[in-house]
Amino acid sequence: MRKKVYDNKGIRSKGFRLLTFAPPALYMMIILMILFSFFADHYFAWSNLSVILRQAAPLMMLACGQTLIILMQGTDLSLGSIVSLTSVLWIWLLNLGFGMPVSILLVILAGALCGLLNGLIVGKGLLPVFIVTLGTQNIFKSAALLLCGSQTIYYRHDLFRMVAKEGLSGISYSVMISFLMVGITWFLLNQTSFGMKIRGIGGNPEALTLAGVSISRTTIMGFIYAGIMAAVGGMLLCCRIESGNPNSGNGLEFSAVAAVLLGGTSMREGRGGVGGTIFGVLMLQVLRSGLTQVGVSSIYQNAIIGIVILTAIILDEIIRRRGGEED
Amino acid sequence: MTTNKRPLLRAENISKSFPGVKALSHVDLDLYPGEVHILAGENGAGKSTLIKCILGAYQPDEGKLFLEDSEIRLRTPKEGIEHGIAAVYQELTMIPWLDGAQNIFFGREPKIAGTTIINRKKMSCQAKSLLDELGCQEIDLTLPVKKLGIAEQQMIEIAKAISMNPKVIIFDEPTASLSDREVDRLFAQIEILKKKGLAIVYISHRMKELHAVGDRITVLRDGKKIGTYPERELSDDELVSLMIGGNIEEVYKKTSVPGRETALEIRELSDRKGKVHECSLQVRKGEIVGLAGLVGAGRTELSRLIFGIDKSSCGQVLLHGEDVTGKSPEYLVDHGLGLLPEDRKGLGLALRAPISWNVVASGLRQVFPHFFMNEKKNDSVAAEYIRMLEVATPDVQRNVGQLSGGNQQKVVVAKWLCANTDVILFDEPTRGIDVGAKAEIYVLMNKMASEGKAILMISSELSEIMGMSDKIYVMREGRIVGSLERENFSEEEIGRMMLLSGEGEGA
Repeated sequence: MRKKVYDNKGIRSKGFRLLTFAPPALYMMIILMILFSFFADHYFAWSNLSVILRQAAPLMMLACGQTLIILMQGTDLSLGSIVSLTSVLWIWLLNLGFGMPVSILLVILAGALCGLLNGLIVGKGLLPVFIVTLGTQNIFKSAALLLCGSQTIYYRHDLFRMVAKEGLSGISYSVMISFLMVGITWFLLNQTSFGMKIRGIGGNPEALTLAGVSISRTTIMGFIYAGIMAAVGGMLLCCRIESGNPNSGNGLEFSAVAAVLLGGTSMREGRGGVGGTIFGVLMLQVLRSGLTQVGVSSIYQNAIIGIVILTAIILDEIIRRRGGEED
Repeated sequence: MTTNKRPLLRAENISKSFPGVKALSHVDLDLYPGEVHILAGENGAGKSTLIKCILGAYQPDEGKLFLEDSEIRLRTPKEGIEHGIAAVYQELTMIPWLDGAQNIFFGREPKIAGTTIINRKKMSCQAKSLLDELGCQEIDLTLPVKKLGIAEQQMIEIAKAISMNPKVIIFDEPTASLSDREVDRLFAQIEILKKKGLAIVYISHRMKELHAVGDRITVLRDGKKIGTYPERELSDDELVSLMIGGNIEEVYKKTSVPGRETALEIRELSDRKGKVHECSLQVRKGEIVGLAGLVGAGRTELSRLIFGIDKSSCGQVLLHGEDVTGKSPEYLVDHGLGLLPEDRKGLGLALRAPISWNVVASGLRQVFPHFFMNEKKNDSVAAEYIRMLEVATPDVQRNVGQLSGGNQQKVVVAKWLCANTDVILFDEPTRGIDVGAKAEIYVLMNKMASEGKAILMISSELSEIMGMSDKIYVMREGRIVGSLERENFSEEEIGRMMLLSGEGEGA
């Protein structure tokens, strides 16, 4: 009987169903790149593309973390502030005289602690993620300002330049790190029981309880992971701007949410994954750098980005409905 | 037949109280290997509480559990599973975007030795052999379960329970969302489990099923055990009277007589998703018309189409002779159409809102024509309907979610009465409602019909649809394949139309 129902849908929707195999962000990205290549010279040159990848690296980290949170049906609004806090903290620690490896470990630990705080309040108190992270966002922001005395702080080290600018055959180390982390996230989400549990929280929390899986522990672990990813993102950002800026992470959490949604991860039912998120991030970065390259005034840039995001998400919805997915 | 063996699981003297309610008092239950033990009783009789105590989801205040003669204490469902007690729940515990294998082994995935990495190969292999064992090789384990049918999900749910290697399986209303044919398949599988020597507890509100699978029946009423009887010694009537503690003359007592005037008519209505094809039917004033068919035959889709939730691709809907095709639900409600959805909790009610709000939700314009709300008036209007429909509640401030299924359904009815509805689409009016409350809903439907309201009822229970309807339309694969007048009703004929395609269709 199910077969019968599908047969009735006709050829048109079969085409639409094919389209649902890739996230909307991928189509949008290809369209945008072709558009930009008309206006900018040598757009498809490797030097240009590698810059886009490089600039996308910090957001990629945040979006990985955000993917987990969104799979659990939340949106972590504190990730941008964790980026600001950890990047300032890193420079501050280095200035205090800590060595590079120790300071990196401490920064990751700090990110994990921020995530732990979020996770404890959300997981133990069963409070909405949105509200909890709205609160902690402000705490982390203040902590960042406090550490650096409300101004950008500096530290000289070759590592920054190296990570951000150097690399193998045109791919900088920062890009490699970001893709390594994406790979780890993919592995966690798809090949481990931890990933199954994260999807379970978004899909059917009742099932977790009945299977004897602790929802609060999984939630806490998810937030810790997101916090660590934000810390890595903070450090990558630090390397690029070679300083610690307490405002550097402002608004990044929203870009991350947009990237995850554009990547086809659903706010409902634990559907999606980090694979689509990659394209979400790259699409946003293609758009942002492209607009600058083409010379669009920054006044219009945000409006255009907003329009593109909405278009992509509306298209996604249409494709899905026509493709015969019930939700 | 089972008395010569030792019980596999024995619950002794179980009592459990919740604030203000004694849910169970001194209940015994013994399960033998290879038997299907039915738990019967109305909603609120204590069935769920009892099985939750057995599963480890609740700790009883008093009493003991023995598994193969040794006492066990369960603090969590996980400990229950470890002792070999598994359950197939009424609400599916599937995680929609994980595939079948991932769902079956959720939380217990086979790992690559010494790591937390899932051994995918081993997992899908084991899942496959489980489904083979159940005779459902055709289920695609690589698809997200969301894309499977509800019956297929149910089979995966059963495979999940079996994968825990249980000694006892509890089925808590497993057939609530299955059609008759799928139920037969489920029973075949229960038979297999039985032969393997498992003890099975089975809960259902469908009388017919109890006789089809049960070996013994334990009846609970008001938290007390009434008794345990061999299945063949109890007739339907006896069982019902044991459950409700008295006799009900007849569950389906038809009192209304249909009028002449057509209240609702649809002509060759089709939807845009290919689930409804050129359906035509008529409902007269004072008439109860049944819409029979298997789950997935397009009945719910048709009701959504009539109510204007989904858009039609062709055809007409006439309400009191007026062409209302393509009008919004808001317009239709204003003109006297009401829909009581199948998913009462999700779509029919605001569970966390008080009864009073729910009652006036659709009739706001009738009760408060001048934009402003008046809480006192709201409460008094709600109280009036609550009294009229005999909803069991101390006051109208109580949240609807706290009421039993039957009383919730009455609140939905009150909502439409309050909106002056005279044509009502009733989708599975008694799903998940116990026998006593069912009878009350039927009385209510008859009363509405005799007041001249027109009712289109969708139901998967043949006895219900035959007992209540003046006329039955049968749907199959999106089409209306036949109709029968009351004097020609026969189970065989309706069943044949529901299942068979092709020849011999009624008028």
